[in-house]
Amino acid sequence: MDLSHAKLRCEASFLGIAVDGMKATHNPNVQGVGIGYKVVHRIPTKERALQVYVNRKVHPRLLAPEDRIPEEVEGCPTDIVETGTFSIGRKFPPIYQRRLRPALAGVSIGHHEVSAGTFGALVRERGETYILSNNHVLANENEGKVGDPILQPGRFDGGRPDRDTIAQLADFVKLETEATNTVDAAVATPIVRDDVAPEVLHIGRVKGDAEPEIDMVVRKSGRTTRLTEGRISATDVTLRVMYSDGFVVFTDQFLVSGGRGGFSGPGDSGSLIVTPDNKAVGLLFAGSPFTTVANRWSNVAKALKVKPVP
Amino acid sequence: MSSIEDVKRKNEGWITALPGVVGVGIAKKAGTRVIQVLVKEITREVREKVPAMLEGHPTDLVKVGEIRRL
Repeated sequence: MDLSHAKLRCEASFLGIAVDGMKATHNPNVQGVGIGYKVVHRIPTKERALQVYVNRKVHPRLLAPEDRIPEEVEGCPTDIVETGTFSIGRKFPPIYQRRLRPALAGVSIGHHEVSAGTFGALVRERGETYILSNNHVLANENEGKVGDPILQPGRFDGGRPDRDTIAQLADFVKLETEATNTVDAAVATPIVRDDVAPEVLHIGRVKGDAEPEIDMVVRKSGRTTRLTEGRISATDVTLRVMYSDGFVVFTDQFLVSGGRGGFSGPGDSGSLIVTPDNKAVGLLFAGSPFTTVANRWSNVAKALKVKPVP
Repeated sequence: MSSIEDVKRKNEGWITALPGVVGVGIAKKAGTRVIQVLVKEITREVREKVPAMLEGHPTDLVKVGEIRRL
């Protein structure tokens, strides 16, 4: 039994790398071959075997006869190891965290000094179109000045002011530390109108608005946890929220609890929360590993005098 | 009996001032509307200080951890 020679045979018949006049064939499931100890019921044995790395392990009977891996090659045992496909370390980021033109609501955005948040919705005020998100995403917690560059994707996702400025800060509702707040909201003016679109990624167009109610099923599309579904668990919520300079108190908020994996994560701030029929109910801005907090849509609309672009 | 919204509003000041309390809201438990008290952790101290009923409306303690901007 010659493992090295048997491995050459495997390279020829599975990977199409032929030497010594061997017949070259290709098995599309095989990602590589090697030599190692055979593993039986997850325990390595002392027997050496030809390891055949496959994308996904499938029962031999579900495979065409020519795609099956034989139990032995030239008298040497084979061992099928599920490895997935191999790739170089750099992962291609999801669309939510990339530069996108026109940018759809749901993707990464942020003030040039903020890490990244979510482009919540395209809104309108007196014929003008704006990008809506949170104050802490677009206005850097009151630190931003009108006209400051807004990047898509946000800085944390590689956005650069010279290349990725999509809008300029237009207006924000100041976050008060000496009084209570109802919204964490801001708007930015797109530099080129055609660089933004009113669709929310994986949700579509917004169709009007609705008031949050306990047990209402809702969805959001956001930079970090992408498309998620949840249920409103509480309304009329008064609570304190931790910001970079301390606590800020909010009234008239609602809570959303998600399914497995939760409803939101850091970077989802600014996401629009909608009903299953795409009515705006809230603006996501805070949370913990246990719950998500949102401003009521009607308070956001009132504070900035905006309406969603249909 | 005062509405649950009024009772919540009237009592939220002292409840949110309790150590470990993050906020107060209105939720539903087994079909009944309750005054939900959001806490960092459910401790014996908050259990003792938040009454089971407030002016005829049940209360409910829920652990939410520390809420941060996302």
